[in-house]
Order: sequence, then C-alpha cells, then structure tokens
Amino acid sequence: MNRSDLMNALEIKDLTKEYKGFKLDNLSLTLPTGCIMGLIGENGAGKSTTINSILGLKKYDHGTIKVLGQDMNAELKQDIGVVLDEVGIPQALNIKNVRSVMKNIYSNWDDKAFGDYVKKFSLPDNKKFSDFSKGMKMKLAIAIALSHNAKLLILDEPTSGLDPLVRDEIIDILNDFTRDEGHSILISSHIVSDLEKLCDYIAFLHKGKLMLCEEKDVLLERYRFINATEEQLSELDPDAIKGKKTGKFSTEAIVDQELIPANFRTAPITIEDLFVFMAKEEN
Amino acid sequence: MKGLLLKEIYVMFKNNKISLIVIPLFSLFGIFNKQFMFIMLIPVLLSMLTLGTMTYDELSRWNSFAQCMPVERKSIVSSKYITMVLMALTGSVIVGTVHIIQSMIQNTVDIRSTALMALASFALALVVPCLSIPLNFKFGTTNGRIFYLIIAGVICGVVPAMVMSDSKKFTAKAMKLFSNFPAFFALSIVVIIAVIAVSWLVSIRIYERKEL
Repeated sequence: MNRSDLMNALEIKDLTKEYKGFKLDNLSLTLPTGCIMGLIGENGAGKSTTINSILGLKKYDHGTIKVLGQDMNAELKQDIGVVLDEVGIPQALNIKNVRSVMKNIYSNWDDKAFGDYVKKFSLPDNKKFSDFSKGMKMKLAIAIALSHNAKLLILDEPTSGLDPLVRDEIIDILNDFTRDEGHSILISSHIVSDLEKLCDYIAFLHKGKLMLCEEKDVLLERYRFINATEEQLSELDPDAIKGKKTGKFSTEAIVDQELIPANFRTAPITIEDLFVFMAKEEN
Repeated sequence: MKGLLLKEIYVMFKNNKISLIVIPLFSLFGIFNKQFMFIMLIPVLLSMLTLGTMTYDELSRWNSFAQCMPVERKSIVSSKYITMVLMALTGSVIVGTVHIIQSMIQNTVDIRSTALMALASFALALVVPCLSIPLNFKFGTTNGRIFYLIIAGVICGVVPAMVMSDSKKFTAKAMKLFSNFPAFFALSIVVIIAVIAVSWLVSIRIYERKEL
C-alpha cells in the first residue's frame, strides 16, 4: 500500500470567503482517494469559489485546504489536472503549439497519451483554438488534464453548454480515469443528472453553505418521496422532512426514511429531486 | 519557464504576423534612407508586442489557466520581462546592423555612434513596457492603459519643465558626461538594468497578491 492509498485526495476545513453580497460559509468536505465527488449547486452557490480557492486562484479569508495531503503549491500541480469552465488556452494556438507548450510545462507530460486523446476526440491539428467548437475546446482541456499522469482531477462545469452526446462521452472518459484506485475527481456542475451518473459522493452547495455531503448511494437509499396531507406531515419529526411541494390535494415531500414510521408508502428519488426540494425548502 | 516563453512567442507572432513584414521593410528603409529615426521604431515595435500578449491573455483567460499548472506566479511575470528584453535586444541588434550597413555605404563607419544608437534604441524600447506591465498586472490592460497615459502625461509635463528651469546647468552636465563615452555608456546600462529590475519586482509583488 503506498502513501496515496492512505490519504484523502482533498480535505477542506472551515473554508470561508466573503465577497460583497456572497459568503462561502465554513465549508468543510473530504474527498477520499479513489472517489469522485460532485459539487452541486445553482449558479452562484459557491462552486467556482470553492474550486478557485483550492487552486489558489482566489485567496480565502479563513480555513484550511489540503490537496493530496499538502498545502497547495506550484509543484503539487504536476499531480492535478484542471478543467475550468472557460478553458484558457490562447486563441491563436493550434494543437501542435499547445502540445509543445505543455510538454515544457509538465515534467510528467505523456505525449503519447495526449496524441491518443487528440485522435480519440478527433481534434484538428492545424485549426486555431478560436475556431474550435465549445465541445472541442472542452475535450482539448480534458486531454491536457489527462495527459500528465494526474492523480486528482478538478473540473469546474466541464459539461456545461455541451450537447448530450459530448457530455456522455466526457462522463465515460472520467469514469475510465477512476478505474485506477489512486485517481480521484472533484467535479462541479449544475447539470445534476451528469453528476448522478458519475459520482460516488455528492456535496450540495446552496447560497454559499454546504447543505449535505454524503455518498450518493446512501442518499438515494435514505431519502424517499412520500405523498401525504399537511396534517400527516405535521405529525412527523421536522428533521425528517428535507423538502416539500404542496399541490391541490396532497403534498409531495422528500423525507429521511430513518426518521419516519415504517407504514408510509415511499418512492425512490433522484439526486436532482433531492437537490431541488432541499434548495426550495431552504429558500 | 521554457513552456511559458514558447507560449509568449506563439501568441506574439501568431497574432502579429504583420510585424514580421514590417521589420524587414523598415530595415530596408533604414539602410537606404538618410533619416535614421525610422529604424528606431523596430525595437519599440518588438518590445510593445509583449504588451499585446497581456491583452490576449486577458481575452483567453490564460492567467487563470496558467495558475492551474505547475508554474509559480513569479515565473508568469518573469516570462513577460524576459520576452520584453529579448525583443528589445533583437530590435537593438537590428538597429546596430542597419546603422553599420548604412554608414559603410556612406563611408562614415563609427563604432561608437553605432553602439550608442543600439543602446538608445534598447532604452527607448523598454520605456513604455517597463511602465505599462506593472500597471497592466494591477489594473488589467484596459484600465492599465489609462493609468499609463496619466503617469506618462505627468512625467512628460514635469521633467521637461524641471530641465528647462535650469537648462544651461543641465546641458553642461549632460555634455560633460556625454564627452566621457565609456562612463556614459556604462551609466546608461546601469540605469536601464535598474529600471527593468524595479518594474519586474513591482510586477511580481502585484501579481502574487492578485486574485485571478
């Protein structure tokens, strides 16, 4: 067993960052090595602030962040593959140029792997980056992130604005990446269905606060839909109700199965349902 | 650093192909034209390309992307200064070469004046970038340009006024220094290096504190 098997890929404790009109409030979460964590939240929930703080793009007011067991530093980024929502490659460069730049930036650059990804993604060799479609830009960013033997991928909205086919392709690639047990992914998205397919852990961010962080399967098992009257709901433990939607004749609620009587008829939820209900309840 | 420098060169020349035509054209004009000031534009043009890359970096959000790679912030700043100095040096070598060719044609070869022209062109090429780069890092390229114009305006307004207030004394001192060519040359190089170093350090300080 090597060292990377023992440590968490990411540990955030009490991360706080305040802007005018927004506060990322005491965020704490842990991503175990070998796992994929999805950071879900509406636009402006604090997903990008969290990722930017991890990467050192933004300075935070309070808290600690450990990545692969260390404080963030330039050398550590050899082991981290990053895809930002706006890719950041200079517009005039073509694949050959990008390749020679990256080859000279990453000491562990795998040129063959990059070439294979370029071929796999059918990326054009001589086209300028500015002439790439949004999907091609994202694929190139992913190819770079996967071509230097990274142990951790940090992806900020990598599937936003892409068509379902490309999104599915990207999800498959990320799934392949985590076949190696030493590889981990932190991925943020507001497209919850993508994360539901991919992630082991789900962290809900809403208005700068972490609402929950749990294993996806535990969430899907523990939280269930019930249909009940307002009167029936009022008799339940208030902590059991995670969110509700009141209709004309009955109320649909998502509840913590462990905190309600066994005689209730329940139905399964999706992560998207849970997120929407919880976020609305919070509002 | 090599990767960052490569990126600078790609961005500079892929976005400014016209400069690759203009430089040989200006050099030819310089050789066959008695008006030498024309050629002095080459180093200025070359070193100004570095400022152009800062605008392209902003447009493509390169600075955030670079921060995700294993490079120190000071390396990103240094890549700008190294490129700027290399471009200014290339420009002054062109100026020196054209000056020699021109003076050979006119049969007036004078190594001192060639060296002086090359040095002057090198210094001239660095004036704008050394002031602009820290301002661009601090305020972004759009606002940086405005601050540059304000500062340059103040300097241009104040310095000539100070010189003119005691012009005879100033001219006498300048002539005395200029007459001692080695001392003048060495002092100029020291001043140029000091200006680059101050600008470089200020930029590093600004960029290391900056939120991207």
